[in-house]
Amino acid sequence: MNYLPPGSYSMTDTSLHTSVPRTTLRRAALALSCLLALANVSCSPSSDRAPAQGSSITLLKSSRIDERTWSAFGGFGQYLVFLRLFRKDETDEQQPRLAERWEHSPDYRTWTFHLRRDVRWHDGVPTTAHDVKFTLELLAHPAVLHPSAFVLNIESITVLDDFTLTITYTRPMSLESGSIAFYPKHLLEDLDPSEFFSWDFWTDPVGNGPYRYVRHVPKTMMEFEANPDFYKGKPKIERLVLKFGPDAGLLELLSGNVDIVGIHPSQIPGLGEDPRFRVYYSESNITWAHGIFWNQRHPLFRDAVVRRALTLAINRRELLQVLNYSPDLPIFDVIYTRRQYLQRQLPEPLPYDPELAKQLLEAAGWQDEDGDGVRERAGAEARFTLIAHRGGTFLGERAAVYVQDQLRRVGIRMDVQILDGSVMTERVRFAGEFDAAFYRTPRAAYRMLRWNLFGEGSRMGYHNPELVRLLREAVDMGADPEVEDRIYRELWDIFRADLPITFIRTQIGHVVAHRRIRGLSSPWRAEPNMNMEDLWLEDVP
Amino acid sequence: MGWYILKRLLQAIPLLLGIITVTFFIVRLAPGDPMDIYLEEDRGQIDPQAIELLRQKYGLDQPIHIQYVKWVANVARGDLGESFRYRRPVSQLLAEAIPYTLQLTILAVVLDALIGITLGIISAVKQYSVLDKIVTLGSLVIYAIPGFWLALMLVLVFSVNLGWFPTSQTRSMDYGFLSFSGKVLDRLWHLVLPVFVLGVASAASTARYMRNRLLEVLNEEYVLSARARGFRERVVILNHALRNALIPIITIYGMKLPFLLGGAAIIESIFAWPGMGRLAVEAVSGRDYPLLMATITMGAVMTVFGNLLADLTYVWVDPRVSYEGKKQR
Repeated sequence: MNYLPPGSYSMTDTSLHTSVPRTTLRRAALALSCLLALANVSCSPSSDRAPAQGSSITLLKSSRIDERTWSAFGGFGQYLVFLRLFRKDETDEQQPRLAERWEHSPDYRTWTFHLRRDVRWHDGVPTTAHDVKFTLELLAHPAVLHPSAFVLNIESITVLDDFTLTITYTRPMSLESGSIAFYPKHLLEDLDPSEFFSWDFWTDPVGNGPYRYVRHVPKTMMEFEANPDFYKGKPKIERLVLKFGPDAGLLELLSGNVDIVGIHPSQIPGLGEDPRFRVYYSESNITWAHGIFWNQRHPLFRDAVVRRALTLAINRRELLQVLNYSPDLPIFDVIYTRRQYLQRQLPEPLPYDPELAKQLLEAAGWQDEDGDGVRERAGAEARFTLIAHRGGTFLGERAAVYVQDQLRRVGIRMDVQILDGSVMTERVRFAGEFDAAFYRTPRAAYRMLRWNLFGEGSRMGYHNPELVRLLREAVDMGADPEVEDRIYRELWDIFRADLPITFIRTQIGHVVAHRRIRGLSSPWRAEPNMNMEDLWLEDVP
Repeated sequence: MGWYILKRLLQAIPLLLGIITVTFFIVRLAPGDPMDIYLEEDRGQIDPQAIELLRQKYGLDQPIHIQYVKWVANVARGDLGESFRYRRPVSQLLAEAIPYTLQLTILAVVLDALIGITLGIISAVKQYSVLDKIVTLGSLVIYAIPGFWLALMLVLVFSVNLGWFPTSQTRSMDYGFLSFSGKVLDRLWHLVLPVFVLGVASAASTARYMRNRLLEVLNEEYVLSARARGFRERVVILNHALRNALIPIITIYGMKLPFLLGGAAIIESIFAWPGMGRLAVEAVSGRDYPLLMATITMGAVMTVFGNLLADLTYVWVDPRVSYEGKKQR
């Protein structure tokens, strides 16, 4: 297989195009010119600057992305082009970025931010507290409505001087909510906020981050170059191209069109032992915890002892290996804060112990009296159906078959039904029509409450008022990380005792990068977007 | 003819209203909350107030029949609403996607017609010849191959291994630096694989229809009569037989009109083609009601329009057909 080293790809290299037999295409080209004019063939940006020379890499981004909203609300905007006030490190501690330090009132309602004085917008204008105030007010505009609590609960903003401002909130606020990029007031203040998501600014952004915009080909790519005035120094990789391509990016990687793609773990074996690439996994987005939801309306799962036995019967470490996940991933039985997960403070999980599982099932009255390999109690078989997604990011068919085999060994018969995503959602979240399900729960308290997993009318048949009270307390008091930590530890006891869900894994992203790209590492520094300024290229033979 | 068209257009109104009404309620009754998109990523604490404000903004807090009446009223005024996912007017998103889809689908239909009709004619005229058998077998094989598989195999062979064509997208990354003719060639270069997959797969069935229909017509007495009168075989086939054989083919192409604007979801996804098909897939997966309803409505309109166009084309192809209240003999 011929492989064009991605870094050596030249934007001015048109050799591929000249290989097209132009004479045979000329007539068709003329006939099509009207059609192509529709798509602005002749109206592409003429103000494109020449591409930067030197080291460069190409990232694949899904073409589902709308360039405007993506850069406005997240994506590359937050990490490459713009600066946030702070960013988290690998232990979930906030580290200075645009803000060099900050203080808060004892009730966490008032925050004072001191900005760096050496940050400039890419057009040379200094970034000030006025830009921060402007952005927060802009994002709270009814036409924009950024969903962050950091934006929507502001009572007042006071600019103390060009580099200091105080924000007062209507309720205690956590920095957790402050994942927001800030925009240049001097370029945007005259634009109409009701047209926010249609502003051309988003496809030609002027930021203050490590990379600055060079050019944009609609629906195709965006190019950036290293910002020589970046406050931490010019990034080592001089040119960055975001290519908008198909979701299944492996072919793009193997074709040499891109250097980094996100992949599903089921694709990892497809890479084989290809020495050109390295695979990383990322825990930067651990929003969801995936596992087996036991519906406690089913007679088998009413008893916590049985749920414990079923958890003990599944070799979760081996299951993760079967699914191509890293052997380093933690196994857990509880929900967690980001900090607890990343600092690996989770309590010891139940081990894989099928013998103990059998004993617990016997003790709970489930015995194989007729010798058919399936336990019974009061004439009812220990049998249920597990529903699972067809695939995607969820635990799917492969995991279901593995669990089916594990439970068979302890005398439990599990049937498997594979369903479409929307049917799964309907049956698990809204109708409660399932025995057991591979599904996911958000880890954050307010999202769990929104889903009503454990409250009155829980679709899992599991109503625990104490658990709900603690979740509400976490929402109200969670601005203080230590209080949040304490509340979650109290939740741990409930989860470990009741085991309403047998957790399998958290949300894990996977990235494949060409081996010449250095600076990426699992599990925290695997996201190229977030760590681009710290990456570099290495010559490889 | 004018009255006929007007009558058909008026008849289309209740039909379209019925389609979009049923679709509206099916879409809304599907499980899931469109506002869940804001909970997907770990972007810090999402304010529950924001979700409620967004629900209000998009009218999701209102009873479903009120939502329906408002939606129909807005559509009647030409307002297709704002996409939940993209937060931009749906009309803007459609206007961006339609040119890409038209490039793909028009070329695919042209390729389909050129290959399908030509091979169908050859196959019928040379019935039971080696050529006929090759065309029949080939069209059956291609018809049986799933489009997505064919697309992936073509990418694997011609893009990944041989490097002759791009793996995806509508244009090269150095597009901005090309001359006008370079841009046109670049666009064509990117169109080759997706158009081939769409066009050839469709041509396989067209060839089968064309062959069967032409064989039927070639056995008609008026064809025998034409031959007896000494017309050349080429004239008999092209002037006498083919026009009659085209009627069912026209119906088929009329039904393809929705495809022209609706796009081809799977092929557009594989080739990262930012057209209507891809947009519709996104709308479904993200429960983006306004965008989804717009794409479905457009499909319904094009279906009705396609049928009307096919009926009108019969007049041109077959002189016996008339919508003026009498049949010509």
